[in-house]
Amino acid sequence: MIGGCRFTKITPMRRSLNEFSSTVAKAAVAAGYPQAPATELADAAILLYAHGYDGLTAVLAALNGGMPAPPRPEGNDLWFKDGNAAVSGLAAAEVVLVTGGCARFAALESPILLLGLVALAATHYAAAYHLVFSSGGNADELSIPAGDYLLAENRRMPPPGCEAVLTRLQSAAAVPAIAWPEGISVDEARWQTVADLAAQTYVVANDESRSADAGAGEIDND
Amino acid sequence: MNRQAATAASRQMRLARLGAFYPTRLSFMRILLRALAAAQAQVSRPRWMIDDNGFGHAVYTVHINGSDYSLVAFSHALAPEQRSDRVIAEAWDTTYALYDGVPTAATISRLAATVPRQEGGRYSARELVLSRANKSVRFFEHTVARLAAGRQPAGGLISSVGYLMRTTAVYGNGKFGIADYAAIRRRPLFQAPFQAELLAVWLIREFTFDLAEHLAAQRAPQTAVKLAPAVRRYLGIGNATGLGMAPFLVSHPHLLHQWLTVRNTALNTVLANTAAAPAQRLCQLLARARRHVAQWSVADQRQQARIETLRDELAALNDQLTPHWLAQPAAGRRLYALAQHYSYECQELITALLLETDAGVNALGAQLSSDETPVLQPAMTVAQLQQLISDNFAWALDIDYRETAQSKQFWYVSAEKLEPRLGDRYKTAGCDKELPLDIARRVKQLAAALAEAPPQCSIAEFLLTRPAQRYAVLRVQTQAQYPYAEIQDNLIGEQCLPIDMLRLKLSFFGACRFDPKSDLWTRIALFQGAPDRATLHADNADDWWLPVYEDNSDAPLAE
Repeated sequence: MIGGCRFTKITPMRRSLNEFSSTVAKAAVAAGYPQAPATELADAAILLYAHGYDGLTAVLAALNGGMPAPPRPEGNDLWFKDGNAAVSGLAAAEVVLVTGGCARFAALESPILLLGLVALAATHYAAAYHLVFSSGGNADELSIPAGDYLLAENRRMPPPGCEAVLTRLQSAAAVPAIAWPEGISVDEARWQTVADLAAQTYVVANDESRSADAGAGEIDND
Repeated sequence: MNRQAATAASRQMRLARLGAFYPTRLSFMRILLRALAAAQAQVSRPRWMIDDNGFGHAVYTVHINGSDYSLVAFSHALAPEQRSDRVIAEAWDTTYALYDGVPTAATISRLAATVPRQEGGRYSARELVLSRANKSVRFFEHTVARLAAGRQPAGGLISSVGYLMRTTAVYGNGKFGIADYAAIRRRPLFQAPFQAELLAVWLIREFTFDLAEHLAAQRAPQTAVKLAPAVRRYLGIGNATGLGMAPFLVSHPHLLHQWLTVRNTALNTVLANTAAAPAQRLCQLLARARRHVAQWSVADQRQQARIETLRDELAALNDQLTPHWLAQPAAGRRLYALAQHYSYECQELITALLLETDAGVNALGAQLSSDETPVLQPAMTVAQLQQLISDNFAWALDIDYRETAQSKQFWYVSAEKLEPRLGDRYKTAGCDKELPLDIARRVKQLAAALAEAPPQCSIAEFLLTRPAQRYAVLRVQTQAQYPYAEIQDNLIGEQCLPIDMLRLKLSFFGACRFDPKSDLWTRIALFQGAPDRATLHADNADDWWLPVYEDNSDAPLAE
């Protein structure tokens, strides 16, 4: 087990899954992510929450980092050098699935997000992955169907700046069914950051848009 | 997808046709009321705290399958100048929450503090639906006055308005903190789409009846009467619907496919069953459809012209249905074939009529929902994806989106109460915040990007350096599996009429009397002709397709 930060559960304010998902995806679009990766970030965050981890913090880190640079191919392997490369976790998992190669991540700023996105891939493709985090000479090997890892109580997360190697596991147990939470408790200040970002995808209204773009009068009695 | 399925989808998935759909026996409202009746649901009104002026609160509880669902209704004073159908309104005549269980006094107090604020409040997962409704200025007071005088409302108004109140929003699925659909979808009552929302609307309809009768009784206790059963049955709930309905159809491609597939399966079942459409029933339903269409008049010129054409076409069809013609085998199939010579309105009405002849297709309603979420197929090659685009999106590739007319409109969310709107790309600021409803344009951009990639490259590798194409790739792959997933029109083109998207979705809800107020906005009636809580278990409870008001009263039609 490598040392590192422990992702704590933060509680005060409940948001429905739909609110969480749509707001996070909009925030990601506002931060410059294309539509599908933005939605997938939100899905990964919910998956993390479903297993008791603070998915919002993981996403916030990604939103600050922006879309990472593409990886450098080396034979069947991919090298991700960008610190925010965790965002490419789902795409990397798909390539690993298809080629049988591996994806190497250097200096990951958000290892938990990588875990969430690889777990999302495991869910999508009923596939199994092997993920090794290493930092300062210590290594932590994980097998995913990530349920094994994500469901483990008191699992310590690798620290920011760690390295990771992702490969496909040929034999695997079935991905465990997830019990979706009835809403997500989030820290209000962090949520407000995401909501403010999401609000950047809204268009400011004026008199013309209020009528012409909605096709209706403001007072419509009959 | 085979060629035959692709061809059938390309014929059906055009907005001009989809925008002519009618409610059917598989519409979500019909499914809801059948489910309530089948489970012997009991509806009670455990709380009625409405004052002499009609203000206060009430609770309606549905007891079904061991569960309780309660509509908590609030009625407020509202200045006429505040009464607006727009989502941007801040006050309403009535506001509602559908509560999971029977609310305690403390719960009602909590809801009383938030529900009247609607979007301005925060809610718990015990609230399933949030809604509001305004009185019809033309009809509500008229009805109260007539009932107080011991008379029924005027037949002409009953027919032309058709409801006492109009809902202006019905929120479900997690909005403002209410329960996610995922949390309730396993419950038998809520397995078909939008059942919680429609249960709320049906109970709101009950409240509108009770409120009008209550006010009449307060006004003139000695003379007041209740709504006649026939009037009560005919009156529905109005609804004012804007663009909020439209993005759902694009963001849920697999669900759209399910809805169309179920509808087509039902039609094919009816057409294949030569015994399913007895001549008498066909004639009866065609006569009803003609009366319904005769009572359907709107101010919108485009729709009114379509209605008038439809009236002529239905008359022409009726002329064909001679005793000799009806005596021949497979009358339903022949009627369907005849209708194909007429307008989309006529074709789609006849489709809905044929479905109405066969209650056996009701079971297909269970397939209207889906747990599946389409996911990427990363092992597909670039060449294979190109072939899918060529096979299924030729219509999108033929469009030149550099032409102003082909990219004239853009969909966006207004900061004003998050109302979806449709702007002119060349006039309105904000197209940098465009919603991803430009599927056709995106697929064409994808095709151009694919042309630059090695044909045997996997899609996973292709996307690694082109993450912006993931969305379009998923749309193409999804459509290949689910041929009815995509509306096959340019949704940002100048010619696109969002009203057609609204009608498509609303027809699946079971709405009728589409009354467009613009290309972006329509009024409709929900639950018109449906049983109320007193008649839910009657023999004819499910027979309310295309309702007709039969004015048997001797009351004058105008005041």
